[in-house]
Amino acid sequence: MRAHADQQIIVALRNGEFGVLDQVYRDHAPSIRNWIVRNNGTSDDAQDVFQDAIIALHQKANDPNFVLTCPLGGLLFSICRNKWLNQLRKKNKEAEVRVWAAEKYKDESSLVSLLEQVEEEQIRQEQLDHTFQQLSELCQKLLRLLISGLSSAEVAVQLGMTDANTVYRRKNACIGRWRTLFQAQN
Amino acid sequence: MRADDYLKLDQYLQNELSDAEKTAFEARLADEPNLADELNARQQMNTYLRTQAQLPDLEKKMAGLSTQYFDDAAKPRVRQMARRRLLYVVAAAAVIALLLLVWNPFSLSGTQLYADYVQHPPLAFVVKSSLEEQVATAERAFKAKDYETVYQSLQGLIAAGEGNPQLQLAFGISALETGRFAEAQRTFAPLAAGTSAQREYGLWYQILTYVRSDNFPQAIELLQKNQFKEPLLKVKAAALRSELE
Repeated sequence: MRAHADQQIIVALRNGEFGVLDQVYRDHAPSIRNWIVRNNGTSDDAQDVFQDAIIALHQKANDPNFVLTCPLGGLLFSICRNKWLNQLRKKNKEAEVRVWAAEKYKDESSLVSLLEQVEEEQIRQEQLDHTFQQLSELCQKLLRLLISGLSSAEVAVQLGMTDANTVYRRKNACIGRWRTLFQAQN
Repeated sequence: MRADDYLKLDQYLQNELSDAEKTAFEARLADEPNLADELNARQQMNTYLRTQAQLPDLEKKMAGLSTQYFDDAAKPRVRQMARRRLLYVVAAAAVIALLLLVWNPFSLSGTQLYADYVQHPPLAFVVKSSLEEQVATAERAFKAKDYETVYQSLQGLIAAGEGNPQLQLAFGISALETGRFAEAQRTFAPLAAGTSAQREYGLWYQILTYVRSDNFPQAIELLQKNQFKEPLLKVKAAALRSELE
């Protein structure tokens, strides 16, 4: 499907250009805050939900294959609504849950698909985080340095390894171990 | 998988393969599920690692913005209005009259509500070539949020009956943003009643114009009578309706 004009916000988030959040907060934070406050929440609840939603959006934005096919505001509101729905459920506010659960299924299919992608990514990243923490300190450091853009030769110097080939072999070993741990929990 | 596949995977992920190598590698991905699985896993890991690397900057940015949008000063306006109304009840009649003469709290509410809900869509000013030069100024001004210039640039065209819905919407927005509410309504109404791609935006801006000019009953009536299909407008309309009713 064709990318929506708001894809530029996704690309900015992917590139770490967080100045774009000035616009996102200005356009969407007030209405989402008001909606949560009117549905048994407080301004603090709204702040937590909105921040979680931005983090979830940023996680998915870092997937280079992700394409936003609807307005960002619609997706952001749906993420926030589901998060607030879950909190209401935890607080046993069943009546509110039913009302908003019914509302949820009125969303258009493209929006539902994007929402699912964002939520699946969040779950996957939690699992990846859990298994990443089980890797050796050296593996964690090596993978972080490589993703920061350093070359294998530069990482070899920083980690006191013989050369770039050693870094390359260690990297593949670390990824293999990480993948085994990740698959084991699924 | 082959012995050098890990190297190929790295090069593919870092976009270092030539076009020919990339095509050949993608053909293999279609035929070799193990290779495709390995690529998918590495993409997911990279997504996680990139996210984690950027997280401190993201959290710092959100902390600053949260103070601005979610602190105590940002409590809902309706509660503030309720407290204000209570004060009016206990105030002397003369003071009430004076206050209402010099300061109408509802006008503040309309302005604030409008600010909360307005988000102008990106507009492409695609017009026939004979109008391009005339419209270029308006397009630049619209992007720069210089609505007086947009209004002045498009006024002649619209008055002459230019029927491009994007231009009509831009002109209506410029009228609304510069306080020409009646003219904004006259521009948005035919859009809302039409069948162009801007129909729902025309309707939404009719509602926003009523909000901005404190005519809440008319805004509520339009919200009650109409349904939006566009996801963002649907969400905003539901939130605004719940706030007004």
